[in-house]
Amino acid sequence: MRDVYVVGVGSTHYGKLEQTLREAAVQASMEAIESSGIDVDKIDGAFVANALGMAERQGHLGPLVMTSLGIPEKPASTIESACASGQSAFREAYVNVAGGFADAYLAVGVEKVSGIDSITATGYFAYASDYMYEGACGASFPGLYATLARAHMKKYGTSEEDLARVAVQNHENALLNPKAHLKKKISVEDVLKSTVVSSPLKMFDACPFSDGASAAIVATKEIAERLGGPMIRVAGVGRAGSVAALPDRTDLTSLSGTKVAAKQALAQARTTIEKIDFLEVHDCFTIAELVAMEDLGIADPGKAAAFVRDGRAARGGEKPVNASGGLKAKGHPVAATGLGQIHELYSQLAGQVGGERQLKGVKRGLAHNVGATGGSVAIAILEAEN
Amino acid sequence: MAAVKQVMSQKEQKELAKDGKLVAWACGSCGHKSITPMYICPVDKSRDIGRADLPSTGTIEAYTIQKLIAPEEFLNDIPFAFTVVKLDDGTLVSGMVLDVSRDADLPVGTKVRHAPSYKSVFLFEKA
Repeated sequence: MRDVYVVGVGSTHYGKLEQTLREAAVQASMEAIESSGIDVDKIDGAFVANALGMAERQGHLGPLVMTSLGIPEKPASTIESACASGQSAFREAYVNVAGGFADAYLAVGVEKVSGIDSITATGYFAYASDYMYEGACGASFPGLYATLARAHMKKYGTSEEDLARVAVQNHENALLNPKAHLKKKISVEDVLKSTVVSSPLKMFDACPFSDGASAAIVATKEIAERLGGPMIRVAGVGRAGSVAALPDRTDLTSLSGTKVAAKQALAQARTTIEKIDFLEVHDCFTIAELVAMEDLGIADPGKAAAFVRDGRAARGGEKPVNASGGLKAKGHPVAATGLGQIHELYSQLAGQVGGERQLKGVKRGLAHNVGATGGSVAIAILEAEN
Repeated sequence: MAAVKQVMSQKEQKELAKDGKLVAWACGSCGHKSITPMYICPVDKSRDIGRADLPSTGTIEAYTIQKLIAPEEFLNDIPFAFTVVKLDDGTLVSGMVLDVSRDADLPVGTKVRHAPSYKSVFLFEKA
């Protein structure tokens, strides 16, 4: 297996975009191409992550993107793993280069949901559940995570304030992120007073519906060295699943796929979670961030809330989590999210974030991306080489 | 090659539920039960899969009150509860409970009974 490097990243801002799906995907891809300095002909193909193309009556997005990039003869396939589509596409690009089938590959994720109303969007999201056993029993996505939250509260005594603190921290981080969707300082009180969506989760416990696109180009060491940019290596990747429907699981307080994918990625990177300097985790709802921290081993089961409360996951803490603002405040353009996380890891490791949001002295970051309630999980570990 | 044996279709499972019978797929080797289609048991990988009748009563294991949004077909039912019910034999199933608006109305542990309906396969009511 060959060493693989991220040689360039790009991203639109997250929020409401006027662009079409294609335009947003191409903008992020162009940014990645230009930041890497790679000759476009050297890109052997692409994986395009997109989950809700039906919102714009557009499937088969790959050839559209490649045509606009001037390489219509290069292959591009769409990857759909619900909200984990982005990092799933990243992993397939990685596999192509690591396995020697290609020397450079593009992974780009894109979503556009602002053209549809929130009821339709809620419906589309629910299609990623095991519909007959979840959606057709009245579960929306917030409803499924709310059910997990209730189970977590019952087992560990997690409180609504504990959940609210996650939202407050992520909003604080997003205030400093120029690409973030929600730029608003909020208090625990604001979260607790916000409208109940699916009890115990409230409006401010949930990520927004965002438009956006993010991209990354992976390549061999030889290409990375020739391009002369920061040497950011893909140290490990993990990809796993969990039983699709919540009621078919034995544990409603954990997403087992996260544990499996993390084990793979950490083993490949020959490291442990203790040696990961910072993380981007999949916080579609506040409860998801706490569960992710526990499944990844940052905190013992039931202890992530205290970890957040004590400031240990804050930007200046020992293990910053979602310094980007996370899905909660940076935004969640479904299939773009995983690549947005890769964009954040790369930018932090390359020292390109700058200002107050730049994490100091970080060498190794982990990104964790979840589809549905863990049916799909993808994890990547990036490492900066000197 | 032997034909793939289908123990029960999802349509049959739905029809039986409307007649008041909750049924699951069950592993003949280790006894693992699942309310979603099982061809190979995820616990012991056995292909000896059969059908098991489930009890119609149980308790609320976890729940949420859907107060603002729901899949379109249930929008008019808001507020209602989406729950995970632990049946008396320990099997977990999804459970929709109508006409519930406050968390206090449906605490974890509340006893519920399956209520055959066209509305949803897994409609329950307080016992």
